[in-house]
This record gives sequence, C-alpha cells and structure tokens, in this order.
Amino acid sequence: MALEALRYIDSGGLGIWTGVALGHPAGYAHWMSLIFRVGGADVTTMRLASAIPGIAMVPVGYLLMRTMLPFRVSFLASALLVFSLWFVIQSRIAFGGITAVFVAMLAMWLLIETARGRRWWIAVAAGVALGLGLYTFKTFLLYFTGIWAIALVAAAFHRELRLIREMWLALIISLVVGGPMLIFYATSGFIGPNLNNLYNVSLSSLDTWLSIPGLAVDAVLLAHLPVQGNTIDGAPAIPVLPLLAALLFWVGLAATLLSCGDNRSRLLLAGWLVGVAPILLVPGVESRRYLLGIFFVLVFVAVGADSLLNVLGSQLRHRIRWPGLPARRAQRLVAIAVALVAVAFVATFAFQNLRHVDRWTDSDTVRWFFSYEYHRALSFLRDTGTEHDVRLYSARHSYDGSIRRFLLPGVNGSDGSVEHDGDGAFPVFQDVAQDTVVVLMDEYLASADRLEAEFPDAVLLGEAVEGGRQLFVAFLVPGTGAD
Amino acid sequence: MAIRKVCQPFSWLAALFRQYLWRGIVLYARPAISSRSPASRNGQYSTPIPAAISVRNADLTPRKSNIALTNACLRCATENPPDHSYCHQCGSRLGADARAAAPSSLPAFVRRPPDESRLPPPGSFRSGLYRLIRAIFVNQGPTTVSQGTVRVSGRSGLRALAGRDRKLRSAALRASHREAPAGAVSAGDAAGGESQPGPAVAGSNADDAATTIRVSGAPHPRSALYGTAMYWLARALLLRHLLPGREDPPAHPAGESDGGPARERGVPTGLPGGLATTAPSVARPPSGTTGSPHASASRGLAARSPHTEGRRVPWHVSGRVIPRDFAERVADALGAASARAARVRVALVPSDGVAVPRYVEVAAVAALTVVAVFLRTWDLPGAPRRCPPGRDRHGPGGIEVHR
Repeated sequence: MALEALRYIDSGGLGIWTGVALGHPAGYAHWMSLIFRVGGADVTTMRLASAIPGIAMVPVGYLLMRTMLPFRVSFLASALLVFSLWFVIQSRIAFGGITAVFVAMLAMWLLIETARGRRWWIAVAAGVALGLGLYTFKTFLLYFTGIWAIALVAAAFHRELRLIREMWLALIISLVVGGPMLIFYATSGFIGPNLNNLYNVSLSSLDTWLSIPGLAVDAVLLAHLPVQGNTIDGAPAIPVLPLLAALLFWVGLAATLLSCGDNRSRLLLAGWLVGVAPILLVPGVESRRYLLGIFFVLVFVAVGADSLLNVLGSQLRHRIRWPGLPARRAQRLVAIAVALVAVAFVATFAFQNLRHVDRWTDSDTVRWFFSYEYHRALSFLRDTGTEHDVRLYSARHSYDGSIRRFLLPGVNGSDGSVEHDGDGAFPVFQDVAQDTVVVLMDEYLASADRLEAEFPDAVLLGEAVEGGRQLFVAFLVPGTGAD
Repeated sequence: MAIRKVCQPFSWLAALFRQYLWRGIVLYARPAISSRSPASRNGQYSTPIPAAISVRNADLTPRKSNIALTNACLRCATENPPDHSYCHQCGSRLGADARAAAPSSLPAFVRRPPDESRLPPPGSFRSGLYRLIRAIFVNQGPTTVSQGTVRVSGRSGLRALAGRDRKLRSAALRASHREAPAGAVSAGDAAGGESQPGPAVAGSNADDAATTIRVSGAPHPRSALYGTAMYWLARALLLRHLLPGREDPPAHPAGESDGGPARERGVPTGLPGGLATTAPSVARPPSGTTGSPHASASRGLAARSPHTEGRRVPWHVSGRVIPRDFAERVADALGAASARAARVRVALVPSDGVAVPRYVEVAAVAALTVVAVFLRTWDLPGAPRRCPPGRDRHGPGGIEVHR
C-alpha cells in the first residue's frame, strides 16, 4: 500500500480502487500519500498513517459511547480501547482496516448526534464520514450496510425519528459521497469472485447463510477462544479478552440485554452486530475483521465492570462503618476505594495486553515476515547513502522485495543467494566493472571470511552486532574497472 | 397498499410483537397487571402483592411528587437555596434537570406502563393467544399471587391497606380488631394458603404497634422458578443490598423480628433489603446522635442527613438518584418475583450517580489520548525486535549463525 502511495505521488491517478494486497479501495493509499507528502516516505510516516486514526479513535470512541452511556462506563471503555492489544497492534503496522473502524465510529457518533441535535451541519458531516468510509477498506461496505439498516429499522419503528429531516439528509449525502465506490462494487463484480476465490464463500450458496448462526456463536465465544491468526494478520492466536475481562464481558452483555428496552442499549447491541458482520460473512475469524466488534466487546466489558463497581460501592457504603467518621467523608472514601479498584482493573488489563503485544513483537512469525535484520541492513545502506550496486545474500529475503523498494528506492541491486535465484558464489564479482556493496545476512554470514580472503581489497562498510549476535555485515567490493 | 391490506388482519400480532418481543424477550417480568388493567377490573387476575414493602401511615397518602415543592438535592436531600442549580453539599444537579434525568436512568420497561389499548379484550381468542405468548415469553403467569409480606404500622395503616387491596381487606380488618401488638395475620388463611409468621417491621410510632400480614398464594410455577433463579442470580452478583432502606432492627420483641422462618430458610421475600417507602420517621434520631449506627447506616444517605427528618427523601439506588415516589410506583407495579429481577436490572443499569463536570471529562479523555499516542507511536521507526538465538524455526535450513 505504501508503494501504491509512492506511485500516486510520482504519477498520480490512483483512482478509487487499487489491486494491491488482494484488492482494496484506494482511500488508504491516498491518505498515506498525504502523510508522505508532509513527512516524507519513511517507515515512520508509513506507520503513522494507521497510528493517527488509531489515536483519534480514542476520543471519538469516547464521544460515541458518551451518547449512550454515562461518564464512568465511557471512560472505562476508552481506557480499555487504549490498552487493547488488537488496537495497539493494528495501529502500529500500517494496516488500513484501522481507518475503516475509525471512520465507522465517527459516522456512528455523528449520526446519533444528528438525531439528537438536528443540526444540518452535523448531518452533512455524518453523511460525508459515512460515505468516505467506503473508500478506506473493504469491510466498510458491511459497516455502511449495517448502519443504513439500523437507521432504516429505527425509523420504521420510531415515528419521531422518521420526521427528522437531518437524518435523511445525512443518509442521502452518504450515498452521494460513497456513490462511486458503491457503483464500483455493483458493477465490477468484485465482491462475489473475491469472496469465492479468497475465502471459498459463495453468496448464492444456502450453506453460506445457514452457517451465519454458528459463526455468530463463534464471534461471541471469541471472548474466551483464541482468534485464528495467521502470520501477517497482526493477530496473536489468543482470546480477544483476558479471563477477568471476559467474565465482565458476559456481565455487561447480560446487563445490556436486560435493559434492551432502552434505546441506548439497543444502539449498543446494534453497533456490536455491525462490528460482527464481517466475520459472519467470511469464515475464519481474523482479529482485523472483528476490530469494530472488539470495540463494542470492550464496551460490554466496561458495562460489566461498572455494574460490579456499583455493587462494590453499595456494599462498602452499607456494610463498612467507621465510628466517628462523618458520613460524607465515608462516602468519599468509598468512592476513592471504588476508583482504585477500577484503576487496578484497567492496570491489570493493560499489563496483560501489553505483555501480549511484547510477545507478539518477539514472536517467530513476526520476525519472519517483518525481519529485524533485513530492516537494519537496508536502513544502514540508506543511511550510508551508497551509490553502488548492492548484492544481497540472504536465505530468507529477496532484495527485490517490497521493503527494499520502499526503503531504498532507486538503488540497483540483486540477489546473490541461491534461495532467490542467485548463484551463491562471490567470484561473479570479478567481472563486475563498478564497485558493489555486498551484504551478508543470516546463514551467509559464515561466508564473510571467504569473501575477505578472495577479495583482499574489500572494505568492511559496517556490521551490526546486538546481544552477541551478528545481524548483517556489509563489504564494499571494488570493481575491476573494465567496461 | 396491498401488503398493508393483507397484513391488516394480523395487526394485532404485530402489536404483540412490538409490545413484547420487540421490547425484548428478556423482559420476562413485565409489571404485573395493574389494578387499572381490564383483566383486573374483571376480577380475572389477582393483583400481586408487593412483598416486603413497609407501609406506614404517611405512605398511604395519594402519591404525588412533593420534590418540586422544595429545592432539595435528590442525592443527599440537602435543602438548597431556590436559585441554586447545584447542591452546595454534594454538587449534584438540582431542580427540573435532576428530576428529569433521574427516571431516565431506569430501564424503559419500568418507565413505560403497559399499553392497555393494545391488549385484546378478555375472553376472546386473541386474549387466549396473548396469554399463551405471554406465558411463553414473558415468563410470568397472569394469575400469580406471590408470597410476601406486607407490614403496616398502626390501625390507620391497616385501614389504608384495606382500602388499597381487596385481597388483604379481610385480613387487615381482622388484624385491626385485635389487641396490639397484633402479631401475624395470614391472608393466606382466607385464601386457603399457608400462613407463616413473617419478619416484623420496626414500629416507628410508640402508640401504633406493628402488624405483619403475611400473604401466601399459589405462585405460577414458571414465575416461581424464574423468580428463584433471578434471586440466586442476584445473590451471585452480590446484589442483595443494593437498595437502601434495609429493614431496621426490630423495635419490638425480638421473636417477631428478622428471625422469621422465611428469612432463616433463605426464602426470597420480595425485595431483599426491602423497598422502604418512608424516610426515617420523626421519632428516629439522626445518625451520629443517639441512633443505632446500624440502623442509621442501613438506611443509606437519607438517614444520615438531619435534613431528611420527617420528610420524603429521594431514593438512592446504586449510586443513582431516583425520586422516591417514582420508586414506590415501581415497587407497586412489580410483583415479588419480578421485583427481584427488577432489582438486578436497576443495579446493572450503568450510571454515574453524580454529574461529572465537563472539564473533568475533557481532561480524562485527553490523558487517555496521550497514553494512546505513546502506545501507538513509540519506536515507530524501529522494526520487530530480534528473537533470542534458537527461537527462529522458520528459516530454510535454519539461520543459526556460526562464524
């Protein structure tokens, strides 16, 4: 996606759809190109493209919850959102789906504010947000459909909602803004073949629809069962919630269901259903498809925690008595005690989640796909500003990979390792006219001595050793000078 | 139009759907048929007796909110100057805003009375279907008479009670003719049910003895089962003492007090803790003076404030402020079994209790955002860290380095 953003900067005309990464709307690439224009194309700016919506969703999520829930629950939910590993990870790996989740939350909040405040400019903002969300990620099509369905069902049952013209204005604007993307989906025939080819899902098959209840159960049980994460999905194969939070999730879900006669609880459940929709359609629950649903799961956890904090506060108020202590001060002490329990719960949640983030960052799969050595080697070459050709010897990484093209654009290079169609031999350089930088990594590090022996004129450009382990070594091999 | 015409004969089904299923199947314990409902008017149903509700003389006056007459704080009952918008003691909102906000924190099913216009006429086929659906989904039989205790103090209370509930009339009148203290009078005797001495209530007036009237009926099996389940759920969730105004220590002989058989067996008696409908009486000393610490503390905030003496005070449920007369209506509308469920629900409704100033909200969210900035941008230029040697098993042929 970053390369698409660079291509857009270089040539323009990216359009509304890009075929990279199995096909996605191009909005995220446009957003990333905007970041690149401001801060330059770098790993930092690339990851900032997802980190910024990941940060912005904290206040937006709070505002969304505040329309339905009191302060304490909203604050608890926002705190859980801050520390949830799913949002931390997905915000840090330049994943475009986080933008869709953020825009969905923004659109939900603005739509609710539209219904409450009946201001036309909020309606316009809500419509624009809902329409623009279609350009962020594929799953937003389900969010868009779900939000529309909720609005229509609510309008069907509530006459006062039907009479809010601003609400209809927002929905119509969302159609206008998202029209090109909707037309693309309708005319390109992308959805059906994409689902069929990638996930073996046929929308015309009865089995697909019959499996939805089972998938819904799976989605609910994800509070306890590990998410199916594979390799680069940014999904550690662990349950969505730690044990204590999972128990509170059930309490919060029960509390919400028991008060589902209230419109606020209905909205909460409806938002959760919208978030669950992507994994109901596509079997195999990846965490990133469930990301919006995970947000509402965290809200249920907050509701459950608030309920038990209510119980705790009530118990303390009625059971514990301090002789001689004024009643008001005793109340204050109880409130402080309850707040401390809440802080302890959030701290425990944060500790567990951040520890999982740390483990995932150190995991084998992440190292394999996001190689630290490779990144260090290419960053070294970029920092040294080499103008020579580069020949990379690595058993695992091709020099022609997207990371190299992103970090070292315009530098000529090739693979020397047999694993990536190289000959694996150093003498090939005897015939090279110009100077060449030879980078040895992983198992080819053992060849450094041989290279120095065969090329006495080779200059050691640099090497990285961390923790007693050699990451890479780079030599400058002078050319023969013959054209 | 055609669809509407075809569906028109089934509009009553849609009404049922909207009334019950759409509001949620989990609303199993809708308020029992009130005395105003057509079924009750026809004598078809018995009005469930609100169990464990203390009924005193002062409570039986026509219910109307007297909160508007003063500028008392709904949270701490402190009297405030008329022009104050916030309580000078606890900072809660005062006036119309607070009164408007308080009931809205309760579930909507409590706020909304049953829409009687949608009920089918009794005896019709639709009525039978309605009762069937209700029995299946609402989980509360319409003829339930829950076991419970109604406590009254004094003859005036008995008279008022007799005028309030036909089923209790005979028992109450009989009790009123007995020598004080009257002791337990079983309305279940009249109804053919079992009579058990129930927990007596603390008499507040010296000249009026407390009378405990225990009513035993034949609860609907499903209702009893569900009520028991909800009771144990409440116990499991430690919700037994969520509601304030728990029963006071007995002011009369200990044998008639809390140690009743029902309580000893752990039989749920309506709202555990009791829905006390009165403020501490004038005769009761305020906390911190000469009153029992247990008695004063058990009544919650209301009892602790000298401002509440002899006056109606607001309810304080799970940190939330509810006008007391509104809570009384809730208590009246709910039967014993459903009251337990309602208590759970009320406790589970999220609430703040105290209005949080806007600047506190802004500061709190800003602090969270700062933490999020750190967690999401820390070491972004870096890459995933290096594994310890020997952990990588994915490289072709391994990548153990031996130089």
